[in-house]
Amino acid sequence: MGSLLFTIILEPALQERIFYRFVALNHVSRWVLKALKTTAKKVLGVDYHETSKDGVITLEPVYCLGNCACSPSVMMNDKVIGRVTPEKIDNIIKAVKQS
Amino acid sequence: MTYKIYIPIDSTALSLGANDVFYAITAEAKKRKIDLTVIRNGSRGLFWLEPLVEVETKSGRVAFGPVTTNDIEKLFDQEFYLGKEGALFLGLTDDLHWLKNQERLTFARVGITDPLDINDYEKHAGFNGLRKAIELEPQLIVNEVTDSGLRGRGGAAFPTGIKWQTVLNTPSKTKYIVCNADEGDSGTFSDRMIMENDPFVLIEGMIIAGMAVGAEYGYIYLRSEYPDAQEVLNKAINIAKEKGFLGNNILSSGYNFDLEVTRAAGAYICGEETSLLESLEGKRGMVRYKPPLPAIEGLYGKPTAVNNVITLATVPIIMDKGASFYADFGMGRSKGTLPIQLAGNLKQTGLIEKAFGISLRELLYDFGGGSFTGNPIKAVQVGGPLGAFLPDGQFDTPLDYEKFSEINAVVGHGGIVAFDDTTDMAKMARYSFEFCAIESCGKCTPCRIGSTRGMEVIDKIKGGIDQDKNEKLLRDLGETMVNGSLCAMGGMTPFPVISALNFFPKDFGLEKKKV
Repeated sequence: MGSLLFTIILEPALQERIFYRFVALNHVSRWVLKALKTTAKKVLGVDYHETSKDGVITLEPVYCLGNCACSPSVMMNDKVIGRVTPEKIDNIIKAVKQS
Repeated sequence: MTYKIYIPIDSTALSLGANDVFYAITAEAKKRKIDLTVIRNGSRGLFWLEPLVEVETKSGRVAFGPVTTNDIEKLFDQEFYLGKEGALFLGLTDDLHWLKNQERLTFARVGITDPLDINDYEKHAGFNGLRKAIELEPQLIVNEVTDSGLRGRGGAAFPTGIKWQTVLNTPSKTKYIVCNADEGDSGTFSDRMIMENDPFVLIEGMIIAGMAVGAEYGYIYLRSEYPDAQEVLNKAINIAKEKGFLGNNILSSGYNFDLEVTRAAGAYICGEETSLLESLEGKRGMVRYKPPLPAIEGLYGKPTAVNNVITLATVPIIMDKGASFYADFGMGRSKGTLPIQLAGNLKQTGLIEKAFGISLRELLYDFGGGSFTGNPIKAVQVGGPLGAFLPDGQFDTPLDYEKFSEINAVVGHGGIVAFDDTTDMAKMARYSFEFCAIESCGKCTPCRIGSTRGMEVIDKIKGGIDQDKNEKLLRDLGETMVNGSLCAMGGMTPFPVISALNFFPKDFGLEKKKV
């Protein structure tokens, strides 16, 4: 029964998760940070699709936020932040963790 | 006495703190008992000066920027609300070099008006195109668009009039207008600016398209990364409905048209029109075989006009001012204007709308002010991640669909990204393949497999393994992908790769210069 459920519902859904970046199946955190990995990874210490140890922030990949004139940019939930630096990301993360 | 000031609500301005500036200015004004009327306008497109605050004066709007929350007290001390000179003062906005040398047709209202004030929109020639279109037979609307020479601004540059004619000629009770707002190309943001800063012009363009081809329903397929645009569009659609511009019997014309926004789910390939239609139907966005053309069998098998945001937003001014007015701009078969987006390693980035024919050099140095780092500009990529890399030797090529095509490059959606001489072009070429491998829908083999093999071949060349053999293999692979892929995703990925190989062989560890 379990494997039938997997074949009919979960497997196609998991495939869509691979196809569509914004289809989320495993977001357990309140905050989702969308960024290109390199800088954000260092600050958060997690890889794509992973949630920080305290369960507050999940890191998701994103390519273009339509803010290329003020790159690099990140997106925290629905808010875009331009011209970020590692320090700025650090401050953003601290701010949401306190909220 | 109340003073009128403008603080942008565009999401680039917001990403640089425009909302914080807005709150700080209103709080300071309250404290000093100064009566300010604050209008949240769109962005003028001078992004290195955002947040750009404007003050209305007798001689026109005066600009201050870039304003941060630390500048507010200083600005009030120098009575900026009177338009007085002082810190951050930039002079009359319209006289700024960046704006003065543009030809803004599609972007005529962007940054000037309050995006959601429909009266402000009408005061600035809004709905003039629609009112003229209502008086015309559908065939005459299509003729006007055909005569204007307007071509698809999404990137493929297909003549809009011919596409509309096909939809008009295909008999069907149900037809659709689909706006492609899945602006995924890196270095582009003009669609977002139109949707956030002048949403009614897109709505007007879609209504006219509906009248022209006989469609009564439209969808805006909006990329998931644009939540602000979604909010603005939904509000604008509701306002337009209340005012009788959408719904049944629009302005007592007998025409019906309604539309809705669908938010995408984050797949680059869904910007390809057939994959977009699959996605809009609720499926995985796999590319469809053509024929049948979407204009004949599109959304749910019905005739569908799929047009880019800028294409549709340009239709109102063509209907208002006439086809020949628009066609007088530009050169050769590239008629009219193109909203150009400058990004990357440049001092000044943002939006420029110019007639076709301007050279890259003018754009990079005259508008862009040279590289941000001060190093020489090594290359630019025009037209998104699938566009060719162009070296300094090609910077004098005029921006024109055919001239770019002659040098195996594309104008695409008009995004220009500059790279300085510290950039490793072989790494960029490898990244093009990596991007293709991640974003490929997987339906055709050249794109699905070729992208991964391409990365491996570049690694081998860089690693010094059988360089001559592998270089030949890379070129063969490029040719196979260009000629054998189902859509432009695999069909254009070799453009950046092969151009990087041709112009920057040293970065690949190849000594001899080849062209």
